[in-house]
Amino acid sequence: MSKTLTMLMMDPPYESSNTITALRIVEAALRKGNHVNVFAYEGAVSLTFKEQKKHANAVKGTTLEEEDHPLPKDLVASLVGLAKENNLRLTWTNCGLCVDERGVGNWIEGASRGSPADFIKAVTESDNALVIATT
Amino acid sequence: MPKILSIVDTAYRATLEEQDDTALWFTAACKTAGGNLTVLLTGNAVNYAVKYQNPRSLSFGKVEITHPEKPQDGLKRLIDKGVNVFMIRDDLEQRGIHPDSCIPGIENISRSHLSKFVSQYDLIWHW
Repeated sequence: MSKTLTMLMMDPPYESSNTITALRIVEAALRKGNHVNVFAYEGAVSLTFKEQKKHANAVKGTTLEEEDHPLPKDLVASLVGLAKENNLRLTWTNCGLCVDERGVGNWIEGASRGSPADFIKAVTESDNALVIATT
Repeated sequence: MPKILSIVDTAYRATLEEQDDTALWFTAACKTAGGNLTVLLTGNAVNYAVKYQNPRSLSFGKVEITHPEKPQDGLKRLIDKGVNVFMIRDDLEQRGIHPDSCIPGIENISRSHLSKFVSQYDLIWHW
């Protein structure tokens, strides 16, 4: 039987291994047939920002294609797709005030705007909750 | 409604530009939304309880940070909302902070009792 995990993420993209760890937890939960709610708080609201762009890496001598730089928005979109393919629920809620502060309101499909009230509601309706804060 | 313990360990995280502590702000918002939350200050965050903190406003060129957060006021707002606030006595002592220099309304617990204290809660959020 499916369970529901609610997670809060706080780190901005490309700053901490917390982000990849959190996304791996999301994927593992989905692959085991569970539903996941993510609340992106503070810098984590930039994870779904649509205007992220891949780049070449002159230091490594790689072209744009060779570098094939991973973009957090693509990782999130892929997880949203994985949930859909398996008839699971992955909600991705960006803290609205955090979005406004950073000007990152142009986000990928699958993300939405919310507040801590949405988080506490999701926590109440979930089997467990995890907060991964910046340090 | 699960009983939630919000442990705040990292202190002064963006308190100048946010004009609040993001973990305490989030806790207050969840309390307003009906959450059953308690706060435990550990590590450097015990300094939030000190009475006479007065961060001055800062200027960068012509732009001023006009309302830098006084963390003790953030704690007072939480207490006024009905959130119970605790702190680790050992962390106060290690930093030379006398309990008399802290705002009222916060209960001290010993680190040796931490596991028993934590076991009262359904969920632990660590900030």
